[in-house]
Amino acid sequence: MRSTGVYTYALFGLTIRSDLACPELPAGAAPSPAGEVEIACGATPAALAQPRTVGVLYQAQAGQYVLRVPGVGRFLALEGQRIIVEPAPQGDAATVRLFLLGPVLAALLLQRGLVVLNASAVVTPHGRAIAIAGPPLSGKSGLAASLARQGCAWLTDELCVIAWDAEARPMLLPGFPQVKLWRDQLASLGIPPDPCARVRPGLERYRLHWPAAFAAQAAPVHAVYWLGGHPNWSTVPCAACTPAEAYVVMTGATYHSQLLSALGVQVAHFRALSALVPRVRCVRVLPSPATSFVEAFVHDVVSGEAG
Amino acid sequence: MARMLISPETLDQELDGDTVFLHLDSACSCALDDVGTRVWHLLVTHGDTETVVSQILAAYDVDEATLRRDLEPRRAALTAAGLVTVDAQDRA
Repeated sequence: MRSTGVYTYALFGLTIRSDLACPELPAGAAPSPAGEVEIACGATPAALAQPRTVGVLYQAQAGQYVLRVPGVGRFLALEGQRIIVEPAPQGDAATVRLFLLGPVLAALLLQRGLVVLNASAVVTPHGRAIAIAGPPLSGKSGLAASLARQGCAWLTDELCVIAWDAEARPMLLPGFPQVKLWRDQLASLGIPPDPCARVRPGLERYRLHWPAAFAAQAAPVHAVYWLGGHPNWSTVPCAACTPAEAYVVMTGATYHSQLLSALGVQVAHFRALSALVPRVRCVRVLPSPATSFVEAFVHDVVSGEAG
Repeated sequence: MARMLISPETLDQELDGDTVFLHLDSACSCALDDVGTRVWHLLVTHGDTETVVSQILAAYDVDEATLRRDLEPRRAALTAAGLVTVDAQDRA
């Protein structure tokens, strides 16, 4: 099945030709695109022929990834080139896009050999891209949103994609101007929640569209902050990682890290992270919901004082 | 003490004095600090932990008991990750 390409978007340096309307994505082709990706609506297999990994909702093998979400739909990412979407009969369109632009797109980007971290990212006023990674519920998106409110340009939420430019610099690629925040994070930013923008029905997490603060251009990666996990975390609020620690942090922050082998990209990913670690500062930060922590972190990053 | 062999499934990459590893078969990934990297190099060169011990004792101001205590978890980590194997002949 081929996409009719009704819609054209720019995403992570790629031009997306899609049958499916994705209003959250920047419209139009990517400038100097690194490639094209098709998103087509059609039939998908219930299972892969030779899966190397089988999860509750997904299967993966070299060049193929299937995700099945009951009540939402089935998705197939192929060879880094195409995604086929088969929405469930009662599938909510926004929820379909939640999975399409999250785990399914992440699998496709990994198939293309890109580094994909589960992180949020902004560009500081000094033109440095920083990524904020960490375990679930560690406050990645909220911290990035606080930075965006203080003069940083928004790059991406959830999927943080790194590629090398013509000068062999690691660049953080622009995603789309949307962040997903919990109700308390919205409250701390003084933004009332929009009941129509819930990430999923019944969930107190909301999509927030931020076109004004969006950075449409890739920016050189300066630092990756990991929220939590320092061995001396009770006494060390912030610590630069050694190369070995940085590698472990970035491996842990990699989206679908458990699928790299099944997707057949583990060697390429090992080489890519090994090339990335010496070029990027990696800092472990002890996160805190306290206003003072957020203010201090934002101040240090925006002023360029952060390590 | 048993002789250690580097698994042919092991990829390693040195990063500013530390070393990161990928075991191709298990997909296990790990990293060693600068001390662990020194141990790794000695293992690569000599293959047995007794030589590693004697080399480190000659190079550093450390007592043997402390060294063996520090060395063991690193050796165990390398073995557990499948990055090195114990030579079957020596094990027998």
